[in-house]
Amino acid sequence: MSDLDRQIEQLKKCEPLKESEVKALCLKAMEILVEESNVQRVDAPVTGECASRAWHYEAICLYVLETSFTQRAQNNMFWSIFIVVEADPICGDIHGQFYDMKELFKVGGDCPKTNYLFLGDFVDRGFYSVETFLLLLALKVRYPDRITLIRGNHESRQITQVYGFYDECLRKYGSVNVWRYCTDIFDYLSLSALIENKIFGVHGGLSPNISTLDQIRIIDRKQEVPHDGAMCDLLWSDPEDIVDGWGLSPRGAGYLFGGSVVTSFNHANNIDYICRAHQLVMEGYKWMFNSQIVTVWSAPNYCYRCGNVAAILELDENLNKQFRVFEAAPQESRGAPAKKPAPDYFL
Amino acid sequence: MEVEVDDNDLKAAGAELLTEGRRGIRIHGWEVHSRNCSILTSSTLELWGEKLQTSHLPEMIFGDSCLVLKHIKSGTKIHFNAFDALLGWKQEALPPVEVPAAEKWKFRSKPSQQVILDYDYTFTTPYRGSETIEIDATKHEREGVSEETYNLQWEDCKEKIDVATLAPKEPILFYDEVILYEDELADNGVSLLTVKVRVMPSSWFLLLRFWLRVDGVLMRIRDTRMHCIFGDNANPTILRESCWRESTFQSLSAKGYPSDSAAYADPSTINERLPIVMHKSEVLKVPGNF
Repeated sequence: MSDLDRQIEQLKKCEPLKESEVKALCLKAMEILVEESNVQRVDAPVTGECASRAWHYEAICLYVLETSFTQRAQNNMFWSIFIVVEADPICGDIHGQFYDMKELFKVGGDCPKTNYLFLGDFVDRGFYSVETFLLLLALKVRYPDRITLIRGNHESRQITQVYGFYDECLRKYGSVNVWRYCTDIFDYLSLSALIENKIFGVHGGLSPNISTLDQIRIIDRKQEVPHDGAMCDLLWSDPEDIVDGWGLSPRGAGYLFGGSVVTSFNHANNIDYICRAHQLVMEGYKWMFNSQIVTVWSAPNYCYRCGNVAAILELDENLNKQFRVFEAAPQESRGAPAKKPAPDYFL
Repeated sequence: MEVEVDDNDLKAAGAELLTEGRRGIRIHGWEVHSRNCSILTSSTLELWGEKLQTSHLPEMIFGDSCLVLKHIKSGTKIHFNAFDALLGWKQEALPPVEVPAAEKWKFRSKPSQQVILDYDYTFTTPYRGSETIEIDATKHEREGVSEETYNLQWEDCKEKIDVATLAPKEPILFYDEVILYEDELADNGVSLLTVKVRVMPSSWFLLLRFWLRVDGVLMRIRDTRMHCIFGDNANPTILRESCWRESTFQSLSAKGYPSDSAAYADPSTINERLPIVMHKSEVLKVPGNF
């Protein structure tokens, strides 16, 4: 077993790596990520080319349960010639909820058998940002073509210092070196993905400075997320029902975009719809503007108290879509603090 | 881990915990009950938007969560819920607070058809609790509505909550914390409305806190505390103290306090240092039977 495989196994048990291992991993990841485009191409699953890429486990069980051996023989459906039906998931925010991400992998299938696209926000808020991000990064280094990680607004030095990842690194390693290695890697993460030229994946949304994908391709992304401009918008903006064109947030910074903006963007770039994350949705996903944009949220029971379900969007080789909704890992399977706070003599 | 209350403590105080899955306690003629639920579904959220006439609500509304303190004999009910708090937000309608990045954004070229939204995204509320008197319809031979919203007769007073009586020398028989709503201000800080309650053998005490931090800009705490000492009197009194505090990050840093948001993850660390903008004490004599 290679070092990397061993590290992946270790991370799957939610055990963090040594500081020196993190450093080496980040260096390797940098070499891979630097080659990626700002609009990273993702292919849809390939059908039937490989027997090991089998049906989803549940699908096989159901098929076997519901048919007799004779029926299967008549249908010419023996294991050896099962037609491979593969579906690749797009995933939204994870926010350090490691044990819930394991639920996600249970639902979506293991990487590398299944090809994953994560839309950012791996860190902050949850208790295991370190393990969550390092596992995804180790999978990226081990299987570069089978997992795509793009940048969310939390993959930033400034945001992680306020919302948890910085403190978690300091607590778990006694120094901020691991935070430095990781935030340096954040600068290399791609900004968006394009699936089979038809589905545009991005963390936040659109920008008034961007009307074509080529305009994204020429951004110099290797920097801290700026406070304004196209790169900032892609990671921060939100769709908004009550505006049709562009809306400026009452905070004085942050764009909101309406239905007509999405229509023009999709038309200009010949895409079917936009898949983004960034906003909590109680039901795990939400379509807007006549199915031109969908929000996918993959952190169930967000912050360990919201009680929401999470979802991933699975696409098959014809880009047929299916949302797979899942719940948080059971309390006993993770080391999260208990729900009820201990009585406190507050004043 | 949930802390088990000692049965002997309960017995000695003449109290009993609520049953059938309800969280709470009955003690000295009061029933204190709390409920923690999930955030609202998208469809209920839409419904609330219609009722409150807004398309912007906190992203996490624990709409079915509540804390209720009911004086059984008089039907006087003091309770806390997100809906009433958001009604208060809607009515107060403070002007928006600009984040630091807004300065830069002013120099950005504007897209055509730009709308500037101007609602109070901080969800600041003057909410200090809700009040009802539940009338026992059968006893009064009334029909129809058995619950009405009353303005209880709170009277201004000089008294302050006696902190010494709340020192940790008594056991806590019941404790809970209920989050009513929460918003991350799109990662620009935190807006959080919570209510905590503790019931001891000699009194109940609660703290309703609205806590706002707009990163790099503003800190706001609006606290309402209520304290009710149990006595022999059938008509107990409740002391309510509200204290609103507020400061900009600029003036905090001028006083030598940290100016980075990370230093203020917990409002209790800064609370006492923020200047008071409003303070008032009131007393309520819980009325007799209706």
